[in-house]
Amino acid sequence: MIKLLHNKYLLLILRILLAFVFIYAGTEKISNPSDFSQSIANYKLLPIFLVNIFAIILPWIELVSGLLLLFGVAVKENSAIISFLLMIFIIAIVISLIRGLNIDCGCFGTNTGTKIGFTKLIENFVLLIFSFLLMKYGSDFLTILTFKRND
Amino acid sequence: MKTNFATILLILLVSSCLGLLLNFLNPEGIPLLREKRKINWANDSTGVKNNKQNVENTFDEPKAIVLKQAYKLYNQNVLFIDARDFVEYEIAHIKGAVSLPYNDFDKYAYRLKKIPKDKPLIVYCDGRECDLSILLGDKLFDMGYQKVYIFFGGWVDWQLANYPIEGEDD
Repeated sequence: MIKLLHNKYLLLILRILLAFVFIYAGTEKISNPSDFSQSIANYKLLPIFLVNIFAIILPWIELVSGLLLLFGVAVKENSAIISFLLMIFIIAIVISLIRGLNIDCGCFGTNTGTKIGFTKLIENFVLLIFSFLLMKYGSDFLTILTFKRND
Repeated sequence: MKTNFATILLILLVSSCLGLLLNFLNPEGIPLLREKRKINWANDSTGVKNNKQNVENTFDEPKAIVLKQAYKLYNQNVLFIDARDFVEYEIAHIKGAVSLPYNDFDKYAYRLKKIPKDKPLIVYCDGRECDLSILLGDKLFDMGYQKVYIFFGGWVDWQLANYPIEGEDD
């Protein structure tokens, strides 16, 4: 089993998958900062003045980490960042569900308009497992750095 | 290869700078610090008697009202808009109110077609703590509704006052 998890093809697939999810999530949020800011405000977890800073910075962390992951640069480090973000998302969703808030997730901007709920939680958990695996084993197969070496 | 914390910090720093810089350059960028939405009260709640010049014909923004004014307007047949989720509306709502859940706005927006833009509207949600009425009120105002009232106190105050409601049991 451990060997399977160590498989470079599996890790590559997980890497690309995670990368695309975060690139997509980041760009959607960047394209409409005020909507995303409102989404964060709806969670009512942050003091109101911090909401915009979060809305400005968070999508760029997602996008940059996603891109670096896609190209295989600093895979472990970017997976660590993404794991951390996913944990924050999970905590935020759990708290909001306990509070009974019926709000838009804001996960991929507001265009998709998905509500928070158990499906969202499971989605985040699955992604978190992926990013944990990448954090532990890394993935140096087919990266922009290996391409260079082959030239 | 161990995880390098300096690299993590560098990535976070670069992303943050990129975000801040591009937000600054973006014409649709948002202010760094978000301010709490302040709502202004409609004139006659300030305790000052209106003189004729102060009669509000058009609003420059949605105005907040309390129970007393809401009831007065109710008796003048002003239309109430329920910003809560449809499930809550179904259970019970202010008599005659139209359901327009802020969280499902696109789905219910067709209901606005029948409502002329110059018709006064009173938007309400749960009570004083909820902000759906403010959000919906702002949205309606942006859509061109000229007289939007936000009923501060909402459903909770209305019920406590035993004013007319309707719902599933009726």
